[in-house]
This record gives sequence, C-alpha cells and structure tokens, in this order.
Amino acid sequence: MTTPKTLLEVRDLTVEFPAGAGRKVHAVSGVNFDVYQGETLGLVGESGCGKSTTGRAILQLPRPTSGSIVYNGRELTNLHGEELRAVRRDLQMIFQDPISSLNPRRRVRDIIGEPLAIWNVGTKEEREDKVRELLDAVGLDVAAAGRRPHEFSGGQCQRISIARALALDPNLIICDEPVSALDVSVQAQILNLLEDMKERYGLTLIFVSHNLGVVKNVSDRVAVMYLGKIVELAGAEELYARPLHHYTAALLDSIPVPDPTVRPGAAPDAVAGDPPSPIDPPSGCRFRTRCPRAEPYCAEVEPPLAELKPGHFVACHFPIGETDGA
Amino acid sequence: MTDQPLLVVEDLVTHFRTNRGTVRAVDGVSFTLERGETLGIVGESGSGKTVLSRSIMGLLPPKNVVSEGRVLFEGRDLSSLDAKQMRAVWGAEIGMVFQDPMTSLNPVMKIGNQVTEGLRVHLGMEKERAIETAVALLRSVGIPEPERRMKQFPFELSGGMRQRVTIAIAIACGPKLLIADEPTTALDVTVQSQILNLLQDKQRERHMAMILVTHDLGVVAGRTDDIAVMYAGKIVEKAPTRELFTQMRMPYTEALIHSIPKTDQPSHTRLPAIGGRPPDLVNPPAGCNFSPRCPYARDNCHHEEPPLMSDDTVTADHAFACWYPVGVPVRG
Repeated sequence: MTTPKTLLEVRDLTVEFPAGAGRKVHAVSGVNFDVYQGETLGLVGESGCGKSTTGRAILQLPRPTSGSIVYNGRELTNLHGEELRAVRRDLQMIFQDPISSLNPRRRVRDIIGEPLAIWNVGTKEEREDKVRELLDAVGLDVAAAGRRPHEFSGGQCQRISIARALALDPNLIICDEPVSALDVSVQAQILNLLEDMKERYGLTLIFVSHNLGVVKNVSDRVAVMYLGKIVELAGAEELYARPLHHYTAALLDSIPVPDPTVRPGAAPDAVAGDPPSPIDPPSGCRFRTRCPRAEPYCAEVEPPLAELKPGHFVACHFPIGETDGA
Repeated sequence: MTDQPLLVVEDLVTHFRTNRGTVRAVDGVSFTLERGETLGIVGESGSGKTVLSRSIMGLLPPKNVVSEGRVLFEGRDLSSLDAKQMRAVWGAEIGMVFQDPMTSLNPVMKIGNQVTEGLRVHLGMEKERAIETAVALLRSVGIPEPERRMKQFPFELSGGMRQRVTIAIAIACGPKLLIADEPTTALDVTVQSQILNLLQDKQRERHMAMILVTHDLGVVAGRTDDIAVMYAGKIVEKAPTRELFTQMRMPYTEALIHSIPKTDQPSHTRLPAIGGRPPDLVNPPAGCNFSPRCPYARDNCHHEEPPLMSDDTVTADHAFACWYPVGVPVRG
C-alpha cells in the first residue's frame, strides 16, 4: 500500500472567542491532525467540544487565533483577499440546517449556479448544463431548477446544498452536521448520496457530527473531540472496537442502541455530570473531572496526543487496557 | 375498580384547521396502557406523536382544532373535563416532561418555588414540608447540593440539570402516568443516557406507567414494554418491544430500523434508505399512507386502507396495518 497523499495539515490550531470581562472561550485548543487525499475524516464530539469551529477554521471562517493550516502545500492562515478566495474554490462546506443555508428568495438554478457565475466558468449555456448535471447527480428532477427552497423538504434542500457545494468541482468538502436536522429515513438517503458523490467526484470529506453511528458509517478515520481538544484519533473500525480513551469508551457506551436485547441502565452511568465550561477548562487533562480513571497527576500535566499503536493516537496518561494489570 | 386499564385511548382524532386546509395530525389512534407499563411511541417528524401526547393531556390550542374520540384515564373521560377539573389531573395524576427543559421551566421563578408549587397545590403541603420534600426530590433525581439549587434560577443550571428538575416536578405528586415527550432530544449523548436511566429508575421505583415519545428507536429499544410506531397520524404497528425488532410486519417499521446507521456495521455500509418523504397531512395519499414509498406496495394498497390488525403469525399483543406484511408468505 502506498502512503496516502496528505491533503491538509492542521497544526496547533487554536480558536478563542472573547467572552466579555477579559475572559475567553477556549473553543479549540491546540488541535493537530492530517487529512489524506480521498478519505473521510469524522470529527465527533458533544456540543461545545469545538468540532464545528475546527471545521470552519480550516476555511478561515473564523480566522484561527493561532496555529497553521496547510492545504496542498499552501499555508492558509496568512492568505488574504484574492489569494484566499481562489483557494476557497477548492474547499466547500455543507451546513446543518439545509433550509436556512439557502436564500429563500432565489431559484434553485441561481443558488446552484451562483458559484459558477461568480467565477465566470464557461458560457451561460455551459453553466446551465452544469446545473442540470448537478441536479441529476444529487437526485433531483431537472424541473426543480425553476423553483424556490420553500417548495422543498429538508432532505431535498440538503440535496440542493450538496449540488451547490459541488458546482466548482471542489477537492475538500467540510460537512458540518449535514444530517442532524433530518429524519432517519431521509438521513440514510443523504448519507448514501454523500458516499456516491465522493466516489463520482473524487472528494475528500471532513464530516462533523455528534452522532457516533452516522460518523462510523461515513468515515475512514475518526477524531474524537472533548472541550476543544482531540482526545483520540484512529481508523474507524479500530476506534469503535478498541477505544483507548475513557471518554471515547463512555461515548460509545452512551449511544442508545436500536436493539432490545441490549439492556441499557444495567451498567451505571458511563460518565457522571456535564461537560465543564470552555471558558474555564480544567487544568491538565480536560476530561479528568468526569473520568473514572483520573488521578491527581492528570490535573497537573496535560497528556499529549501520542501514537500508541500505528495510526491510533490517544491523549491519556492511563489509556484503557494499557495500565490495568500491566 | 382496579382491574380496568390505566389509560384507554379510543379513536382519537386531532385535526387542525389551517389556511392550507385540514391537517390530519392524529387520525384515529387507539391503544390501552396498563398500570406500571411503559409504552414507546416512535415516529418521524410530522408523524403526529407529539400531538397525540398533547391530545391525551388535553394540551391543545383552543381554536381551530377538531377533536374526536375518547381518552379514558382510570375510566374517567378526560375529554369531557373542563379546564378546572383538568388542573387537578395535570401534575397530580399525569406528569409530563417536555423536550426543551429551558422553555418548560419558568425562567423568572426560582427552582425551589417551581418544585414546591405542585406539592402545595395538589397535596396541600405546608411550606416547610414542601421545601423538605422538594429537597429530597431533587436529591433523588441526582442533583448535587439541592438546598443551594433550590435558590437558583433555571439559567444557572446546565441542560441536563434542568431536565432533572423537570423530572422532579413531574413526579413530585406521585402521578400514575408520566408522559415524556422527547425528553432527551436537546441533550448530549452522555447526558441523554443519564436522563433515560433516571426516568427508568423512577418509573420502576414508583410503579408509574410511562409513555416515552421519541424519534429515536434506540432510545426506546431496551427501555419499554411495548412500542407503537406512528406514520402520518396513525399507529401503523404496535408490538412488545423485542418482537417489534425481531418480527416487524409493517414495511415502514422495517425500513425505519434498517435505515439507522449502527456502530457495529463496517464503515461505508450502504444504508437501505426509504425513498421519498412522509406525506402531506393535508392531502394524505389514498389507501395506505405509506404505499407511495413502500417497496412492497401493490395495486390495492393505493386505494384500500389496511386496518390495524393481528394475525396468527404474531403474538396477540402485536398489531400492524399492512396488506402484505413483511416476513409472511403472501396468501391467496
């Protein structure tokens, strides 16, 4: 197997927001990861863990507070104006709420065709052809072109968003909770569609979601985030079968399983309490306040994200199975 | 009379008159709930599950609503009670937990007053005793430092803590029935499992009956005795929980279960998706509501509506509304 080409390198990414009175929300704190050409990287975590902010910061929306983001060999954090705009052709985004991310007053053909018009791609006829091709690719009738978003359901609006994101033949698409607003029956359609589009257009995806089942379904590798940090990163099968971080294990234990033979509530709560505030995160390991394995040392020294097994990274002083009985 | 079922819902209909026409939100729903039993009501958005739970509680807007059918709670017809009589039922006999704990708590009232209100009004407790009881209740739903929390306002609590408070309020007066409408949808997954475990503990401890309304089959899978699946305002299948997952008969139930991505499937497993989308409840399709999306539909499905019925391939508690049930060889 040849080593996959690294498309995106995120190093020490930090995003902070002012929270008034001189305090800061530490949304993302020193995150490192690579994205390989052609893969789907899942970013999973609970609300407030920084997964969406990480996705957006890659597009420089918002600009990271510090750190580096190298896309295809180019540093994005110091690009401005026209240069940044040009790079963004390659990087597209699909948002959570498909209805509010489409302009209600415009027709579908204008929504999907706008990126083409802005970049002046081809002639008017060629652009119209491209819109028709995209509508067909995402499973919408060509007649949809003349209609407006309110005439479509949530699932169909998400198809329109996907078509718009594909218009400029991007390389990397950041999908921010693209199916969270959809019912399960429609969710499955959109997940299948994303897989098809990835295949057809040779895309690389960063898939942000709180839903562990959805992330497993679409991802090759998965990064688990907690309070602005990546706590574990591994291949999808490996991460779900053999989690090394106590938070990952707790998350996996907490998923409601659609199988009546699995008796929930038999085990005690996987983790107690709520996540702490990102304004004042705990010292040392940020998960230690809820961790069943925490020791005083965890409060003093922050565990680095270390490669414990090939391709399996974990940020924990006492990873699962590594200390018990060793 | 203690042998009668706790709750009998008979041919319940709730239609809303709107500018677009009549929305048939709940369209002829019947079921029975015994004391201490838990029933999961599952459906996608717009299936009528929330309107059903509100119709049972009598919490519908006063105007432009067509209500038919009966809701018998311990033999009393709730739909014949006036607002004053219903106030004696709400909280005292039927408790309710809603989806969003921020909007179901009063933002300008201290937690303590919100928990003691029901105790004083329904149970006639003295102030001191009500406060003691409330502190004990908050402690029993897993709120640390309940004395301090009593003096706080809802915004000072996290989402999970707020939902614990609404559960404490709902069970304060010892209701015989607890209706929980998407109680964990607004919560994160680790907090969700805490709250579901709490609801289950309280339900067992107090031998309450519980109706758990949710869009997530995973939430009800291991936690209910029976599950009713709703589609377009009707119950399309109702069965003991285990049987529903192993011997579903309604193609919609099958599709719903199979379209959930599961963590034990390998990555990139193609999901069997249901085509199309749920019907418009102003103009529901003729015949079976699911027929336009159903892979097994035949001619008669498009004009004859199947009744909710049982047959000899399933247990007596299992009913489904389908002419060509899955897993059964076609007869005739």
